[in-house]
Amino acid sequence: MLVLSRKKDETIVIGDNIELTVVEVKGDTVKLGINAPREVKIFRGELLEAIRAANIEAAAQAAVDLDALSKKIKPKGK
Amino acid sequence: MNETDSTISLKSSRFGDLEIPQSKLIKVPEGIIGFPDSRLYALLDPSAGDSVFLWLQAADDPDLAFIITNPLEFILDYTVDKSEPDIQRLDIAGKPPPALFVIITVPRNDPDNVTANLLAPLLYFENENILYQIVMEKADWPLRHKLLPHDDSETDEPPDETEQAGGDA
Repeated sequence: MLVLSRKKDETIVIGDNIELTVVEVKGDTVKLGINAPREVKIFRGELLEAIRAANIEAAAQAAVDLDALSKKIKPKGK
Repeated sequence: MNETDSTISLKSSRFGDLEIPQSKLIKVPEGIIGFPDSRLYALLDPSAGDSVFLWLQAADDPDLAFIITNPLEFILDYTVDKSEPDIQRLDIAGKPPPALFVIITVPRNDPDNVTANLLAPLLYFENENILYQIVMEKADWPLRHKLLPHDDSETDEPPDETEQAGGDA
């Protein structure tokens, strides 16, 4: 992993059009500003990891009887 | 008959061998989060409309399928805010609004604890047969929303055992 030291207001440029700016450093929290083309996906790592784990769990289910499930869970407004 | 709409053979470990018309295949250009390699899916409705649940079956992986549903069947005020960065990325302005789905999890060892992923819904652009899973970082929808409230159930909560507290001799 590339490790760079940066101070407040200093930047890191990734590729041609992604720029990270250190906006604030306070205690153990670093605020980063990100400039990137809007087609670039940007997420907090732990959020994406939680969704990945949930998707993997969802994909692991066997052939659930959807009719039975459907009857058990009565949609609202029906 | 439309000759151009050929079918493709699709294997599903849950539903066996299926023939799916090309036009019914759904492109998932970014994959489902955690499954970046599968980019083509089919929407299966084994109950033929009786169930609010459908299967999203990967075309290239017989084992990979998700149970999905329209969240508005359960959560009437569920909305996908277009100001979410992950939606802006898709440049959907001017397109017809997509159909909404969410992924359902039925835990193997606790099948009554069915949850819906409201944090990362699926946007399905029917006109183009394209589907994206997007992350709604700004809103506060849960990753695991319980669909079966534990209201009148006898499940895991043992009846109140009032301890006969008494100084036994």
